[in-house]
Amino acid sequence: MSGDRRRIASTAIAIAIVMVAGCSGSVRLSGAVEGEVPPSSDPVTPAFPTCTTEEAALEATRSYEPLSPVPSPDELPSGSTMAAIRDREQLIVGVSGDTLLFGARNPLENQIEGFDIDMLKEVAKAIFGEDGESNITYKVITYADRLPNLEAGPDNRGVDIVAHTMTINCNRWLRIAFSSTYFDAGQRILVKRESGFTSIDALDAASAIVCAPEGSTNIDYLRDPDNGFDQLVVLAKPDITDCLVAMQQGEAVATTGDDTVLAGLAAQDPNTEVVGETFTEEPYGLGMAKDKVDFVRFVNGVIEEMRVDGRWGAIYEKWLVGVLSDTVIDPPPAIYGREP
Amino acid sequence: MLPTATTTTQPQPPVPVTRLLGRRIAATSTPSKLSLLRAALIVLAVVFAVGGAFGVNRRANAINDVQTASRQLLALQDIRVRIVHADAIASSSYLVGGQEDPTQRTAYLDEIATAGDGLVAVSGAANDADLEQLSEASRLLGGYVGLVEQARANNRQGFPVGATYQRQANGVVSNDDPDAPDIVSALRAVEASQRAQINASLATAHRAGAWLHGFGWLLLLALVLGSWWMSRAFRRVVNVPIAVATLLLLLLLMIGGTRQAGSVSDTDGAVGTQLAGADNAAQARAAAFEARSQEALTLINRGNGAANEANWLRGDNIVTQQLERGLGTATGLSDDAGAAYESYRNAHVEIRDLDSSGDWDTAVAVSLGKQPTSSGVGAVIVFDQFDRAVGQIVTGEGSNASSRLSDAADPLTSLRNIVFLAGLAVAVLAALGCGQRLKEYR
Repeated sequence: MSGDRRRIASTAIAIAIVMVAGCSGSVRLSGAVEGEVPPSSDPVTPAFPTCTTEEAALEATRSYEPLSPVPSPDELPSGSTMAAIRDREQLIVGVSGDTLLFGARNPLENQIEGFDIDMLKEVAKAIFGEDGESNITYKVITYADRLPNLEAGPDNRGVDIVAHTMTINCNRWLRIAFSSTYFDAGQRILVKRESGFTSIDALDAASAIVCAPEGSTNIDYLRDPDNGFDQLVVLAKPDITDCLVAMQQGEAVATTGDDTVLAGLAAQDPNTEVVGETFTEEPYGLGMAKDKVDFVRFVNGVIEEMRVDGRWGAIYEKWLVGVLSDTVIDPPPAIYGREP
Repeated sequence: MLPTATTTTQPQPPVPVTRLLGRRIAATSTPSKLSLLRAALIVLAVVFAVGGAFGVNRRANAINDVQTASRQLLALQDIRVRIVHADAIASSSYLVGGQEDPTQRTAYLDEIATAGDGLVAVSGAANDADLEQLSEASRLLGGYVGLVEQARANNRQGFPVGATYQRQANGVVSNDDPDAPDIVSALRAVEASQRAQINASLATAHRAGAWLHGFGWLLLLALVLGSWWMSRAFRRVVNVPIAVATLLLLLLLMIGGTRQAGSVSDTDGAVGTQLAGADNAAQARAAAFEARSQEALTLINRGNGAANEANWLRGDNIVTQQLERGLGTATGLSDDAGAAYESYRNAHVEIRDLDSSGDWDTAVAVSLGKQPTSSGVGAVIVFDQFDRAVGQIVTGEGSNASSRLSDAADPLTSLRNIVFLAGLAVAVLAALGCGQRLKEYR
């Protein structure tokens, strides 16, 4: 009998275990996935050469002698860079897409326009003739991409020429070539109208918050202890337009940058104005490949003609009169005499 | 010295309590034993009635909790999808500026309004921690709308600063900075909390089965042993009331146990297949819209969109992973979604290629669907196909999951009542059965 009892008991327990065990499961709703981004294949930025004291002593704005007279499109020297561009019927240019007045997309017409763009159109007309601007292929590039695009060249997805509020300096000459100065810019400040501030020193004295793009020479200037801005509160933003937004949102009192760029910001917000004297010099040049000396001389020839025949003044009037000055100013003088 | 004789008393091993109890019962008279058995069976039966019904009820409640949390999860995902969809519309509209399509504008406003209403609705059923996140999402949504309007106003005047507002607006919807709050992170946190709730309720539903079985099989064992003892003590094979009680209980444990197990396996199926499918599809859909926004931003930040392209890749990776996890039972729709997304991905690669090579206008035209890709694919058409397919999966699988969970929980209410009544019936039958034998002593 005791055997029966054990059997009954063990059978009952076994059935119970099976039924209870049958109830246990491992279904779960999986958690949300996190997106993975493949590691960037961009090469590490190499260290770029810097000018020696001897090289730095030479005026950075000194460029190659201009071609004079500028040959017509039909008479471009065969084998020259300009002839090659004419033959491929395409001038590939690197420009800014968001620097109002110099290089920005007009969303109404979906065209990029500005002072820099008009300079390039003149170069295109010199290569292709009067309708030359239709042969321009625009490539919008960042500040950091300006030199690499020239170094790559048009055959390697780079560009022929860059017009992108680019300051001529000695270190850049080691990597690319510049035209003569086509615009003299300088660092200034943008403040709210009737803020009472008229200089960077006044902002410093008031311990004001001043915005500048991170990584720019403008922010370096504010942070440089030699310049003595001890009380200024520096607000770094990724881009200069972020600084305008910061001002509009009450996060910053002022923004500093090149007067050309600040003029573009002021044009977007009538409650702001560019004030004070320039406190740095930023001569702009058109950038070209280092070895295309013939092209630089050709472009210098075009700019030289523009200085004289009033085209430069017309472009200035179109974009900058009423913004940076009340009347057309004289074009910056060109300095030549650089040897390849 | 004679050695002293020592007597050592060996320590007696302690008698186990069960044996003591056994001896005590053995020494008790048969009527007393019978009374004891009756009392024990009644107590066990009542405990089974209450405990078993409690267990079944607990399982039913847990399945209902799974259903409630599932609805909340799908509602949250719907809100997230609407917001990222609105952002994708806003970003694409920015590219066309003043020539904004009025139907797109209406769609944007509708999505924002529905998302706002949705946030209010889900907040009603949220716990304190979730409520905090939902309030944050509501607050951010208000700020987002303001930034989009700023972007739009600037863009219509031709001011590039509009792009910065658009970028900021997109950052409010979603960003990588752990210190900067964003709507998607807030909603994803609440979604995660709902998933945890679903999993916890599912585990509770599984564990709750032990109550019916634990008390049931113990009672059955007691009935069998009681019958066996009575048959030996009274030399009669069957005590009818107790035999009926035993059969009743056995039947209940077999049928009720099966029904109960069926409910939980249906719940597992609803969660593991339909709900998981809807969940994966909703996440893929949200990630795809985020990627679409990033594509437009890459074109808006012309030449400066490397960060946006990295974000596109992140969204694309989420879509791929979710598609690999499976989108539930609607295989036809699933395949359609996968194929459409693949076409969209190829179109995006071409758009990036066009933009990188300087042909921004064509890149924009292809992205906005105004021009097909080189292989004749319309980016907007295939993206919409993907959206429609995953949208149908979310709706279909979500509703299937919900009705399957209802079907799983509903029979448990009657089972709970049956278990309770059956437990009481066993108590009465056990009392009757023991009572018959006790009468024989009077």
